[in-house]
Amino acid sequence: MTETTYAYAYGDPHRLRSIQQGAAVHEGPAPKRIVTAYGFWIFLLSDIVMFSCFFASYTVLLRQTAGGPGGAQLFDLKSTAAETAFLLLSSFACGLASIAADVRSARWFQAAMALTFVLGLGFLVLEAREFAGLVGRGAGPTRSAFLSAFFTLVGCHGLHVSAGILWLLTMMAQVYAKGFRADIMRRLLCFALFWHALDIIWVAIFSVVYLIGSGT
Amino acid sequence: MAWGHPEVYILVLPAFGIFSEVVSTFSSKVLFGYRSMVLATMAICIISFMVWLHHFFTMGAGPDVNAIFGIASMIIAVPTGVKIYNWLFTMFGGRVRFAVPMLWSIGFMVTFIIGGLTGVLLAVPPADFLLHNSLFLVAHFHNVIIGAVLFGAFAGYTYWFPKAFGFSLDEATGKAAFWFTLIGFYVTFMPLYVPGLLGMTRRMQHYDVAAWRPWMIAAGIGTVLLTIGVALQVLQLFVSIRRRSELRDTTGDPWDGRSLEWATSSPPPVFNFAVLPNVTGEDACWRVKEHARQHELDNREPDYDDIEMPRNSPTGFVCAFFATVMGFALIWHIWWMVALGGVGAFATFVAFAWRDHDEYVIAAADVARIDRANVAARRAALDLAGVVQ
Repeated sequence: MTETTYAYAYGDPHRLRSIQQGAAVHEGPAPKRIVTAYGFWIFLLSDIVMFSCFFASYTVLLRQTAGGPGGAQLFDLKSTAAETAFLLLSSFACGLASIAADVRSARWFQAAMALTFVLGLGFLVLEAREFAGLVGRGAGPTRSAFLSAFFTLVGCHGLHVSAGILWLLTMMAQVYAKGFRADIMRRLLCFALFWHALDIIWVAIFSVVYLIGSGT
Repeated sequence: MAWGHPEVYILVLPAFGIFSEVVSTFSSKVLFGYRSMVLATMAICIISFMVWLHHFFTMGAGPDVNAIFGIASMIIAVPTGVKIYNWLFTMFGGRVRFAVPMLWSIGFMVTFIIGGLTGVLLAVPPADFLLHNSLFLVAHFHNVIIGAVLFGAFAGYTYWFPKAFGFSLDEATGKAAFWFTLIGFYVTFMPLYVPGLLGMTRRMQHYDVAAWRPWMIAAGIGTVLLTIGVALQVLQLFVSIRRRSELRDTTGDPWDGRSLEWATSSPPPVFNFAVLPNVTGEDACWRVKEHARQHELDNREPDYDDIEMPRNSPTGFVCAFFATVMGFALIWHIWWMVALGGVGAFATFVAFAWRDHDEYVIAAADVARIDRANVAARRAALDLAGVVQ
């Protein structure tokens, strides 16, 4: 194999062009949509690394209740199931918004995003009620190592959802003011990735924190 | 050092990267054992998470725990040793040029090996029970951190300064600074091992043991030499700026470099590369030069295209400012300030996202003009070297 074909087949993953071979290889860099999504995936993966640390500390500290209440006394699985339903449905609505954006339907896009917003807000309200209830019963984050780990993990996810809701509203405003421009479509792609990733993390929280945690 | 792992490896791994670049460039040889270098880095990344308890051998966790962390702390010396051997083998048989960055690199290798060996001593829990919190420990970690991180930073600073600013740093003051720092380092920190073994603990406000005194005086003399070294570094920058027109780097390749940054002019144009280079392996710039030496510089011009560049924006700085305000306010429970910081950061972000023009275009003609100047300077340099007729 000549050096050029080798470079083309294996050695040039970023499709960089040649100095030496002149016009021999003219692929150009990857399109912006790919580059943007790639960068956002790296952000998501680093976020997931952080969440895995919080999951690890939660499972390690699960029984360290310092004589205080454990998961079985604290968790209300009905409310948590409702939270799960809200978040999963909001992810579905977010998927609808992506489809609407793909076919450039502003009306359906705004409707689906509004639905995503309402469902996400419902999730946050339930979570805030749960946290307020826990703190009201003296089971705040300072009560035990178990509760510190619980509030850090679940609260961090809640903060992500809050930031996601701000982002969602910004995207609705951007599409309203500027339409489905190429850069705005790239942002919508990132937003959808973010929202679905939060959903996946919530599924893990529901299983590990609430289902396993309520057995102790 | 109540806490500090894997922080020290986070400090030292970038310095290791600098040394790999510098040693290979100034030995005019490809880096020896590239793959083993990468594997050693990854091994250090993983093992560095399993050594932290060696700061707490004396806390009473028991022999099992101490043994495991002691062994891990010794094992991490193995991939580090692989790196040292790779640098030595890179120099072996090469045409070594003792420019300032290379001096720092060689100084690093010697100093770091001594510091590493005393580190392995400290990793033995029974020895650590005697040496914990002593000046022996102080001498050890200065031996590794100054020898590796600081020397690495100085090597990288001298090496890439011409690339960033368009002129080289003055060689004579640089060499003087290196020798004063190296000798000053040894005179300061080598004596500290002895009072450490004699039982002197760190952070003492005063002492009344006569046997420690000569070693402390020696260390005091060393700090004078080190201070002269620091002053010479400042002087070097001052002299270099004064003499910048003589020290101007016209070719963009002052060290006969091997990696791609040396294929750009110094300082590089905003778009870095007029035409994206095709990378087929390590030492891409070196391959281009080899190619040019054998077949003359490629006379064919590439097809220049317009280049899209992102517009500069202060968004990152402004957002970070508001986020810092918010973090401060959260720590001290100043809720109005939390809101101020949060709203400020979000508003900055929205303003950034609202821009209609976030890129500008450098016309193909301008790209061609800038790139032709770069290529002409390189061809002139090769002409002077008698390579291209």
